[in-house]
Amino acid sequence: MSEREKISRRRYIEIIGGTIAGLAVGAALGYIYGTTISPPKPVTKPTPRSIKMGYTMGMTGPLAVPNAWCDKYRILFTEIVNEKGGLYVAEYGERLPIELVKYDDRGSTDEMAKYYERLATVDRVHVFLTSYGTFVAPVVAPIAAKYKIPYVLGSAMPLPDLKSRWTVWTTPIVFASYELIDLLKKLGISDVYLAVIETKFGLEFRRNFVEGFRYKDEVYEGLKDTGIKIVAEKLYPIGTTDFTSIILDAKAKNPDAFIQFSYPDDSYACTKQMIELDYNPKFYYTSLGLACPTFYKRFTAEELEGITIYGQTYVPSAPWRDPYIGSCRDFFNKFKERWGEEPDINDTNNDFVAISIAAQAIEKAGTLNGEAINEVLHKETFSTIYGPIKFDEYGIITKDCPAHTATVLQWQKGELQVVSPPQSKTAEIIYPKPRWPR
Amino acid sequence: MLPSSFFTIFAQLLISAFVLGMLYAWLASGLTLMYGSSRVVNFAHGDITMLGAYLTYWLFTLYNVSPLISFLLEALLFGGVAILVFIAITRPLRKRSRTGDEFEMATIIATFAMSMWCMNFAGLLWTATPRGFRYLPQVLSFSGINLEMNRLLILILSSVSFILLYAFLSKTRIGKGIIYTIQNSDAAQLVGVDVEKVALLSHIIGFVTAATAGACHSLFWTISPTIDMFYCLIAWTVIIIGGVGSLRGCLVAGLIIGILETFAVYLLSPALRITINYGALLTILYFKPRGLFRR
Repeated sequence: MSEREKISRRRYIEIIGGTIAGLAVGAALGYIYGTTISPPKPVTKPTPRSIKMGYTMGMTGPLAVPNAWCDKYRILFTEIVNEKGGLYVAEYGERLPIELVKYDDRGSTDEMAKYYERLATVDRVHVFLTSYGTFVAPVVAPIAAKYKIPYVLGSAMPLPDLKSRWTVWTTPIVFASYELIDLLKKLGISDVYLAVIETKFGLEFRRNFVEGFRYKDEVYEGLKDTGIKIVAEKLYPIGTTDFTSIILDAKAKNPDAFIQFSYPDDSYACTKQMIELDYNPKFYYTSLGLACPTFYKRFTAEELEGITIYGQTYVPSAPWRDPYIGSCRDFFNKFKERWGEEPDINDTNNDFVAISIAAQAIEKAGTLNGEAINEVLHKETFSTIYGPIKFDEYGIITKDCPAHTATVLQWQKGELQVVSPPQSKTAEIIYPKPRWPR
Repeated sequence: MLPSSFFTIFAQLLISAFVLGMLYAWLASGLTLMYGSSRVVNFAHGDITMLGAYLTYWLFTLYNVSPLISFLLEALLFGGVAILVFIAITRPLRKRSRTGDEFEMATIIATFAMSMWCMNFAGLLWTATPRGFRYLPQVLSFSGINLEMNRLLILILSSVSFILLYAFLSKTRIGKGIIYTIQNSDAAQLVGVDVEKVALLSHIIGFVTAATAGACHSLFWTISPTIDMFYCLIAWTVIIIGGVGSLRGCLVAGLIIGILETFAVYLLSPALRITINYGALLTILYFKPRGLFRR
């Protein structure tokens, strides 16, 4: 540095002193202006641009298909609500549109946890929704509780053991097998043949069915005490496509009822081969598959007539109403109009119920405050396509609601009807099941 | 004396076993020729079956094309695909490989990559939702034995195709060339067999059998992107039991697997199906390490 460019000590002190003095004068003037000259402005909360509902889902990976279905319900719901300007939030005195904030978790719980943290802290969503599957809940429930964000689950079995006060579940706590046993007793069926898929789902069904498994405070005596005899029980691995052997065995043993605890694919294959082999039990139950349009569309109404399946309280003819979409029939028609195919009857439509409940809770709370929404969720009753729904302190549907209990559905004249339990019934059961048309 | 219902059940099971067995035999026949003559370890065989099944489904549901016509169309289409695969993948790999073992290893990796690609492509196009259609669902009944027409069609298509392939190999000059190459590649070259042409032809046969087996599959069962692995493993099990390169071996092994699967499921448990398949494989390999018909 040259001599000329050097700053003298005196000059240096002058610069610093001047700056400090300038800042002090500025601050003093600012204070005087802020406190005495102009009155303070009222602090108002800025109106958010939207109501954010956040979730992750496996857009790729093994659960991509059911997740894509679940999302169709949420998208349909959002479109219907936003068309009318959104949800009314009293706190802001206006309607706000719903914004779905979603990430691809690829079916991985690690990814899920990471993204839910992001949804809470970066995106600042107001409600958590969820992807397909029960395994999601233990990962997300603690995050929901940590950030005090209400968590409304769709297609997931309730896990009351989580004891989360920030979580509500829209699926029945009482398993379908209880209703099935009850129905078999009422029909006077004396013996059954069981075909069970070797997955957790199939085996849970089987365990509840055979042992009258006691779940929570539900007491049921189960099949063992009913005197209904199991003539045979065949477990089969996932991916089984040929049921000839099982059906021939059942045909030879000739029980009153043939019951298959199944996934969709095997449910379809078994039904098809029962028709081929002309096996006509008086009662035929198959858990999943024949409520899914992909499969039931391949049969005629005559072939489907009298087949019973696992279900919830929704069928198109059910008397329930949703405040945003209307009756169950309206739901069926609007879904079909939007997506060009019929909605699933017994599985993924839980996600429609979940987002509708979240929306109703926000409108009832009149605020986007998580604690207020959560309080409403655990206190109020919600109108849904599953009937009225109210939750207990741990988010389980209460006993007085029809949706507390799973149902038995039956195909009748090309449409599914609830035939058990009595509080959800939409039609009387056809028994014995008509023979397959030839 | 056994009750008549016993014979009815036995006959019904036997028919099911034959339908399965012939499908397996037809599926594996192309793979055995492909591996036997050109040493290509094709792990995408089941994927071609899966794509063949989807194509039949698509043609039927979108354009109402009879699966019988699809069967023939797919033979042409996948024959063409086989030529492309041969030119783009197999031939360069063969040229770059220093030994036969190195070539086999390279084909395992290449076809495995093809398999992954096919499975993801199918998932993207048709999603993982199982697809299917019902064609000829009428049931034929005779003496208490029932059979849907579509299953009968599977039996007819696979049996007739198998017989035609057998006749082609044993009666034509180029067919005999394939057999000679399988038996001894060096000796075949010495007597004037063009092994390059044989390799190409065995590729075509391999792809055509796999794709048309897929067309048969779609007639009765549902289709999903994951059926590929099942069919790939079944095809390899059949050719290992039957002996690599043997068409008769394919037929016998296919029927053994079909019969074992069907009767074991009936007599024991459906859960034991896979155990029984591989149990049979291990037992036969213990007594005949080169397979039933490999000399």
